[in-house]
Amino acid sequence: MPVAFVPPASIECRQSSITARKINPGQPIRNEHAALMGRFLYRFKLDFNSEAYVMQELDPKMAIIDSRSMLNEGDGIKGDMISGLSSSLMKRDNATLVSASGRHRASFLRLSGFVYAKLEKSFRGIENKIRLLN
Amino acid sequence: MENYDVLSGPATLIEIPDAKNDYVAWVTGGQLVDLWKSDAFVDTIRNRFSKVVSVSGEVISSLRRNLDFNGYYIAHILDQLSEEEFCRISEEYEVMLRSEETEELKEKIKILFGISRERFTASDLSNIFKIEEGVAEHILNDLREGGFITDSEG
Repeated sequence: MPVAFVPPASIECRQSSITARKINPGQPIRNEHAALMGRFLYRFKLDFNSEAYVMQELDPKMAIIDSRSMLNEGDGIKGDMISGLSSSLMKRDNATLVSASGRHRASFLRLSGFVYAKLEKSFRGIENKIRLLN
Repeated sequence: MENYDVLSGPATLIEIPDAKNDYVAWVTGGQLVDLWKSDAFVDTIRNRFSKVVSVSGEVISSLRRNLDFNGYYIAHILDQLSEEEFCRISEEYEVMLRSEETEELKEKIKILFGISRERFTASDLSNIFKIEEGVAEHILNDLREGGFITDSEG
């Protein structure tokens, strides 16, 4: 169950649990991947301490958007910013508040259908370290 | 050509044989960098300015539509809109993503970085210009490699 902290990293699954302190929904898109699902896909963007995990694997277990995507149950990505696509909508019923740290709480959401989540920005500390190493 | 002391340093007087036209000169450190006929200069400025206006317009309308859609999304999350109603509205807001990378697109993204100090990510650019994220990412990498943007900008 690897968890990636550095881009490029993504997950694709049938059900995903996502956690973030800031969630931005986005306009629905239609492209070749959406056409495979037979409908449009909704964008989403997670900000501040974001994470996304595979809860239910794709069936058949094959990446649709990015061949490098992690597909196994429990695989995840963690970072400062995650963007993605989902065939289902976020709903209040699927959201619960969880403790993210001693002081902060975060939304814990379940997305079903098809979910693609991509790590867009690492945590600042990791990003700075990588910059120094380069 | 003659040299004059103008302000703090020497300047160059440029003699132009065709005196019927007005000229605009770009002089830096007393040296002539470039010289345009004034109408050509105005055309260049107008051209550049119209590109900035066009990119700004595209960005504003894209963000406005996104904001509108998010309003409906919030209404749906608060159970003020049923799933059927929301899906119907979603159809009005759906966007077709383009997957071709063009020089024009790259130019637009350069202009956006030039006029704004925001940190735009690949997903932001994909959202604004209705392009695939892979295309946006590729252009961002190109701009980074070319030194046009730094890691802290995009």
